[in-house]
Amino acid sequence: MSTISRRSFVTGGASLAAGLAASAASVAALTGSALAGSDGEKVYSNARILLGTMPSEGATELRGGLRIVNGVIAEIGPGVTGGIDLGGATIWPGIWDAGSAIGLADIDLEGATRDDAETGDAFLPQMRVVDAFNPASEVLPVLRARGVMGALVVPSGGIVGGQAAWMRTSGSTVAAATVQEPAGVVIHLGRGGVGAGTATRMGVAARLRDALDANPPPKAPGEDEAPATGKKATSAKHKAPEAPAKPPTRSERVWHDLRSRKLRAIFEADRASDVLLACAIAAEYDLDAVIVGAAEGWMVADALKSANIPVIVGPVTVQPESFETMNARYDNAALLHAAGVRIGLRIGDPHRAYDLTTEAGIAVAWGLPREAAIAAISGNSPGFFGLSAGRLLVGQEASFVVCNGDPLEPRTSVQRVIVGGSEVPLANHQTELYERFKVLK
Amino acid sequence: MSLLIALLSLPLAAAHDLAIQHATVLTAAGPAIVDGTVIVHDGVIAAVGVGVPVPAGAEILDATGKFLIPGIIDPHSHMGDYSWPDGGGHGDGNEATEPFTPRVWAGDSVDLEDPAFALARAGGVTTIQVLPGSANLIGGRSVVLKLRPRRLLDQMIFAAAPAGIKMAIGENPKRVYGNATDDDQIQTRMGEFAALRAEFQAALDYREARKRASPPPRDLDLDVLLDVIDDKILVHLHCYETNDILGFYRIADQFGFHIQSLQHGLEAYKVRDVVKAHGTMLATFSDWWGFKLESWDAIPQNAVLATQAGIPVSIHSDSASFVQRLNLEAAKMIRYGWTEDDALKSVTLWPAMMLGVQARVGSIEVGKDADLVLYDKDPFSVYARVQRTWIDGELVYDRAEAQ
Repeated sequence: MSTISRRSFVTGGASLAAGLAASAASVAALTGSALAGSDGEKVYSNARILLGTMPSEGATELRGGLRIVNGVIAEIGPGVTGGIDLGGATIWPGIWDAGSAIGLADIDLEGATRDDAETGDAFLPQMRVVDAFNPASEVLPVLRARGVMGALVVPSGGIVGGQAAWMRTSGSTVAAATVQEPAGVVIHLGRGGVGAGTATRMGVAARLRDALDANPPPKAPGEDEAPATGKKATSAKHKAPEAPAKPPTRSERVWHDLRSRKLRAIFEADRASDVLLACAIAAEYDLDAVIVGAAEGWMVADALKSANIPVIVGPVTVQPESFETMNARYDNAALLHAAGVRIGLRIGDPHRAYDLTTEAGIAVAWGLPREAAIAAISGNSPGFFGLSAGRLLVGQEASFVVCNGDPLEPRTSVQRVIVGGSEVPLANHQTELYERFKVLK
Repeated sequence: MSLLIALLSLPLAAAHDLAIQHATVLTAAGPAIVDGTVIVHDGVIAAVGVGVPVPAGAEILDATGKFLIPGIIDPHSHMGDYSWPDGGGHGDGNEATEPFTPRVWAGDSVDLEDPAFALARAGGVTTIQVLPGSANLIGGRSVVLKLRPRRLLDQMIFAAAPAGIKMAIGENPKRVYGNATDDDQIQTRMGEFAALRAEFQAALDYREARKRASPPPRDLDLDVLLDVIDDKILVHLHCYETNDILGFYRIADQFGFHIQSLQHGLEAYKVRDVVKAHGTMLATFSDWWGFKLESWDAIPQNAVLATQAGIPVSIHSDSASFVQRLNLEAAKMIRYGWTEDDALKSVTLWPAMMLGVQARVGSIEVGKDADLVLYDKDPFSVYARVQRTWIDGELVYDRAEAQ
């Protein structure tokens, strides 16, 4: 939908700079600050730089600096000196939380601020989170100041709950905040999908298969004389093939994109059997699948590996506290990684998205290699969606976080946040309260 | 009953000596001891220091490179009362039938088979206070447990702990009773305070009536409230906003009782002078916020500002998950101005004081219970893992055996 949607993060591309300029301008509009304005050159030096990449891609960490030209990283490494001396601080891509309600939900118990859970309809593929996303949410500046750069924003409720989007925590308009829309269609398995019209897991699976069967992928041109529409494709069920074909509805178009792998299927599943069901349905219908949650994923790591489905695990600290997660354990991410499954991490609670660093650190304590943990909360998950967000590479948007130590350690503070080459002010609701009350009057 | 007493008098841990050597000992009672030794005798800390002689026959544990801290204490838990897996069958934390249920006792709901207990031990937790939930203005009495793996509740109860009671003010009671159809309806904060005043006045009236020749029958609720008024029970108050904190002090001042702790108290920083003047301690979250309107003004500096005002601050969990990582929740506060020692005390000595058990636990000092946690790294590092947990000298978690 947005002029800067996917393009701003796709490697290379002529539209990159234009997208970034829009992004920087939106930050300026949001903050009223003169800081935004990414023209020209800017250098940050004397830093430890974590790239947000996986070890298989080469070095994951460099020392030196970053040179930014027009909001894009022009050079990284020991050769970059001068500019702003960071005094040995750490530069890293910041948090990209892959499965959150940020921008949709501000206060959990205030219904008027909750737009994350649609109810009453098991199938709403045409629903889009960008229609509810609030770029003026006061939650976003709090998250941003603590290093959260963006999130895969997902709706909850229903079996097919609508279309997710990758959104930034900065940007004064929905368009400016949008990184990728739609990012995929969210499908809830397990008890999360039970609701309108179903009472059991098997009911959810049956209705999901029914819906997938009713919306086969459109035929390629020439394959069929008639336009490829859902009505036509399902005409075996409905008599009157001679009737002029109606244009497909919005929801039919989404189904078609899903069935023809133009749109990802984002399965939410935690119990091992639900994770396997996601793998099975993805295989039966040739879906481009990502699995989110996977609290018991370690139990079916081999199946996930052979299905080659990326898994966004989380939270790392999910407990064996519900009937969905009876076999949850801290080393879930480590075991999946060791089995060769591509993983990212998510935290789930939008207010605590900043704690994804702690979650990643805990995964390290329980066996996940540290470089893999850094990548799992920055570059990996956007990468599953074809995005380069969360990785610091030459030619990419210069968006990163500066902190005074290991970003995964709880004692570490965020010092600067840079989006599209421009520093974003860190003031927010909480810092304003602190300033007001740090001395009692 | 005699059988129970016999069971309780059995030595629960084999009487033996343990020497933990070469550890960095963070005592919560003074500076860190590098290359320290801690001697445990019959479940009690017998010696602490550098180069302390080891008794003959003692089991020796070489803790070179490791960190020893006092057992972690969580003053706000619902473990056992909301046993895992969660669900209606395990929902035993809120007797939400009427706004005043001081007669109920959280110990009666505790499910000894709650798997969360073992995971808490693996997180270095040795003592917890199980509180009733916050649906009611006065929810009932708490129980303080030592997390010994036991089959009988009496063997887990921390017998030295004084009685405590949970009170609550603000959104939760009015949400629960705002739609009540009977006399229990409460729709506003002023309604909550009016109900509290009436209830405490009823207790005073009851006390007078009980002195008459023909006294009214015993009222178990009002008996407990008279103990509150007489400061025989520690009052732990669930609250968030300043108006709730200040309003409850008006009630406490009017009826002459002490508030031992604010539980959550996310806006305590705004009225920390008042909290300090009342001698109230604070148990709060690290940086949780936004889960309800009354948590919207939470700031991560709450604990730090309260500490600067001279209030002993605990970091509590209110969660059977976060209790396993209270060391990391406390570590986050270092970022906002706490020292390592503040962080350590916030999960050991200060909660011990809040529960009235500081003479027995909360620091590594001679004569205290040998409730200890050994980490492989600095306990405020996210990469640290608990290696062993002891309660009264008994090894209750051993990472080597858990794997």
